[in-house]
Amino acid sequence: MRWRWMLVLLMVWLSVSVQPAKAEGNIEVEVNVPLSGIIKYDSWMRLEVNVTSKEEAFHGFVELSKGRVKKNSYQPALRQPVMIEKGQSKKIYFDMPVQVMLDEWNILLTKNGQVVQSEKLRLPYPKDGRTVGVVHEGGNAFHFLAINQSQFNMSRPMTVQNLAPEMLPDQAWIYRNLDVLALGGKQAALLNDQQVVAIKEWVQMGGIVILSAGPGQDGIIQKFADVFSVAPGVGGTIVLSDGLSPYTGDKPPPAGSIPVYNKDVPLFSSQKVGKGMMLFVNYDVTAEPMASWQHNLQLWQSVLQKHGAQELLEQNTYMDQMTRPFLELSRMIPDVQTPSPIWMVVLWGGYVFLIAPLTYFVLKRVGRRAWAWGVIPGLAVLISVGIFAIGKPLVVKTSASNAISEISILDEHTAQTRTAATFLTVDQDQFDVEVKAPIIALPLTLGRNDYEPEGQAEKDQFLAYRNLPYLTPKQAIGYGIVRDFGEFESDLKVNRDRLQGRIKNNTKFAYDNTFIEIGLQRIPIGAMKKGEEKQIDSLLEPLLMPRQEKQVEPLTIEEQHNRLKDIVMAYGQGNQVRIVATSDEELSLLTMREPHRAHYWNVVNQAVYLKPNDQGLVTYPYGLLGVYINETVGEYDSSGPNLWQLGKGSITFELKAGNAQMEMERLIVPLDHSPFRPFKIEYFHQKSGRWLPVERASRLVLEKDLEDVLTPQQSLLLRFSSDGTTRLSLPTPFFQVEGSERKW
Amino acid sequence: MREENQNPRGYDEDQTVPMLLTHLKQLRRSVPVNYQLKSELKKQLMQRMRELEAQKKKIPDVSSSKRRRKLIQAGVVSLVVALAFGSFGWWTKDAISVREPKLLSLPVQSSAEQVDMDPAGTQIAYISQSSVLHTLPLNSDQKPLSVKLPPTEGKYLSVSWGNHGTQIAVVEQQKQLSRLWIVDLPTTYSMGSSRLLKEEEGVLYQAPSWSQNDDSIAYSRTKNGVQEIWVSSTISFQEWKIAEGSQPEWSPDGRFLAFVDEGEIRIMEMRTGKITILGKGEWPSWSGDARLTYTNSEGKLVESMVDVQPVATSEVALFNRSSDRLIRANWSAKGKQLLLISHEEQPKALVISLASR
Repeated sequence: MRWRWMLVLLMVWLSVSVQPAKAEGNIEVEVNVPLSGIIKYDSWMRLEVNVTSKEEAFHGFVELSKGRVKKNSYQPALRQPVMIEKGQSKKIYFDMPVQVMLDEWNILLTKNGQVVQSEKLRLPYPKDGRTVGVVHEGGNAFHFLAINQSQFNMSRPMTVQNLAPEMLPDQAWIYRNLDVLALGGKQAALLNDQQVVAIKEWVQMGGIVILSAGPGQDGIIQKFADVFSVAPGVGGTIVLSDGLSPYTGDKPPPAGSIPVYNKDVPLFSSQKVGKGMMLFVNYDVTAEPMASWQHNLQLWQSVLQKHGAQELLEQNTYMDQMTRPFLELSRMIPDVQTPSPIWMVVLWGGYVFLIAPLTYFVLKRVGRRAWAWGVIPGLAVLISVGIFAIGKPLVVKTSASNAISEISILDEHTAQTRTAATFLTVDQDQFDVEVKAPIIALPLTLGRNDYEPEGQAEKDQFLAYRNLPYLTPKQAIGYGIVRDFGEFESDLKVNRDRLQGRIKNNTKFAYDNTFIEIGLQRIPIGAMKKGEEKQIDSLLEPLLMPRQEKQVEPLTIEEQHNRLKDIVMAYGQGNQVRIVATSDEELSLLTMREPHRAHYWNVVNQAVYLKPNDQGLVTYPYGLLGVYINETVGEYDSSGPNLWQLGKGSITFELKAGNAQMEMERLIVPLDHSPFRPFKIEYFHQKSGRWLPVERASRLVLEKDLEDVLTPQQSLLLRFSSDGTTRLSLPTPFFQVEGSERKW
Repeated sequence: MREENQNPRGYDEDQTVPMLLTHLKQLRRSVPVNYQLKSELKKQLMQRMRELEAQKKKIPDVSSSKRRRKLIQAGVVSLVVALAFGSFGWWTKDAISVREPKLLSLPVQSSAEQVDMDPAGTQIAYISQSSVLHTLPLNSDQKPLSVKLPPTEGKYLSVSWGNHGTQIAVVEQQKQLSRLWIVDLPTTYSMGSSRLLKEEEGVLYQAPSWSQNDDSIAYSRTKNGVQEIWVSSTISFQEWKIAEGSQPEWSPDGRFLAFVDEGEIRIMEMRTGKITILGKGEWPSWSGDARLTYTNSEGKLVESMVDVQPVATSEVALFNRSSDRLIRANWSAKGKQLLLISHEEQPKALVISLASR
């Protein structure tokens, strides 16, 4: 009889296991990444999943899950509902930071909790260095931007990738996977209006677009006429020796002339747009003799340098798109007070070691020892109910959310935002969160080691959290554009060692705290109401390292809170002057769809461009521009922020003078200060190729010979050597640059 | 339950009841029931049982009262002992006694500035052989360190430990040139290094003192015989003069700067610049945010409470201290440990001892 039972069990098992196999043949899953799969580690990306149902309708979920190799085992997953009729296809989008997508993911099709189909996700690895996307029918168009790998940007080579017009997305944020987009020829003219709008928005967010057009190639130029206008119908030729003279230096330009789109415009001209820029090349880059000119490399280095494109590329520093400090801070919901672990130990210990033995003792005394079996567990239940009833309102009274957002103002109408929010429901095991378009969002849960994507997203409109354990906070991060936020009006200049001028708050918010960030210094301005204007006149401190309090003792909750706030305020800091302001006004980017108490903390920042002072000079003060280690020889180590220790050997610093948005006239390094004195100091003279000594205890001032000293990347190389037996420390040699305003 | 268990102890020993019962039984058997007699007998029986019961209760009452008496006696004794300990603790809570009378001995030509204790009170640093900085742990958790200072022709004179315990400021004097160095002590992750904070010709730097967050150092700067107190930032290239005087010492909360001018101890409130004179003495050291000690001309330690008006000043009693003349007393950050630097006559030497509360 036993074998019959076994046969029945086998049949049942087979019938269960055969079911998915049947479905697997029915559904086809195809995965695509826009921009021909170009992704950058510190960007967000879109994963397009195309699901086609061949034989029968499929109503279920498309899931993105790590692991879950065993069917029906629980793993955190991102899921989206899908309803496909027989023979139909449907595209599902998953948007998330590239760094998250680099984990091992599986795409699953599930129905009623059962895995119907599973496929391992294979993605191209993100590009190192800078990527130039080229839309041009000429296969070798703009190839000269790729050959300058070793000379340009030190360790960040530039690669060129040709793209067909249909590969370009309609969403601006996807373009952040590129550094430069070069458009030209007939192919570029095929871009549709949505693509052009997205590209313009990306330029505002910091992108660089190079437009190339020869005579009569109006298509692409006129699409961008509203941001960079070049008059059509004035074609002609420009003599190359004249047109190239500002860029070629001692390299002889090719003979003859080249046909141009507009004979009244120089060969290269540029326009700053928001945080980015547009560079117009007044000829078709595939036209000879320029297309195959041997010095194209030097020419384009010079063009990118002189028009500020290199500086923009270097300003786009790496940023953690998971915004962990934002997430950590958002978890500290103001009204929610997690009970202290000591209280839990006291309550537990009190019951186990005091109440229970005492109860037993009393019962024994009164001769009712047997009652202990009922009374002690009963007391446990009673105490638990009591703690819950009294403790719950103390922990949290109502559902709550806490959103931490950064708003980077690009112009009056456009601001870029990053946000992280934590949601906590009190009496429900599920809730929805509305995502305000055009923000893209990713639901998260706090995993064992890090934040794990988990939740349900539907049509970019809302995130859904389901089957939540009691009082478990859930999170989400968002990224995108905020419209019509307004901007700060500023007129700031550096006069000697003072920052002077005024700023006016023309944004939507009033601020409880505002400061100007200039290098390592923060100049406090205080609270600012809407429309309020403040005069600035502050001493600039030659700081070597940030002024922050070192913490030796463990931080209190309040101190941790303030520390995280400080990190969030410093997010995205670069070699620029910024106005940074904080406000707790409402900014509903990710909103819970149920009654709750919402908290907001917003950091608003805006880059400020310094104006010329009374002498017509723009000054980039000490500590504002970047200094990086270029080369080290022998024993060296870091001994704190901006402090370096050197044994027997040398450190060469690269002082990025070229990042100053001006025509440089003077560069000063205050090497006369005591910390530099124990070292032998030399600077590199580019023209002669020699290292020249700097006299001990004297400042290095470069004026007339500035051009001969700076490298092609407009940097100064400064070498500190020590032959001592003891290790000596030196601070980063920050510097000051003066010059006149750049003509775009 | 068995019958004998119901009977109180001693019952069996008294034969009256069994005899009465036996007699009653016999009587019942032999004569017709006399109910009057029966009730009398019953009364007698009950009376006897009550007597026995009362007797039984009397015995344990005696033993429990004895126990209670013993308990009370023990309680009183414990209370007296606790009170004695408490009052002793209260009486000696602020007393400072020398724990290590001769922690270290330096040549007599050494200066009192050549030794300092770290703010945690766990180790001291001193300079020997003119260019080696030594640390001496005060407990077994740490290891002693020897740090070679930058080899110059100068002589290292003053030592001051930073508030975070990882950096030491040292002053070097080379003929007419004075230098102020910051020494990063070696750790598991770093080999340690020295940073030249300030170098100046024709001056003498002395007595460096770190500010609350270690972001600046105050020191005395003597030029042409004039003593001034200057501050150099450790995080920028800024420096500024604060007052005329010497031996600056920041209070732990950074509110006051104590210093010596014209042989007097003065404190400056940093916010207002108001200066208060405390009395004659030298080497001020803070044992709390508003408690300052200094040594007077008689080699005694004097304490001033600077947040009361007028400033309250009293002599500090040091138990177990030798009769050597006290030059300088330096407190750890929380005012628990005190480093004493005294001048010993026989043999002539600078003796470093450690006291604690």
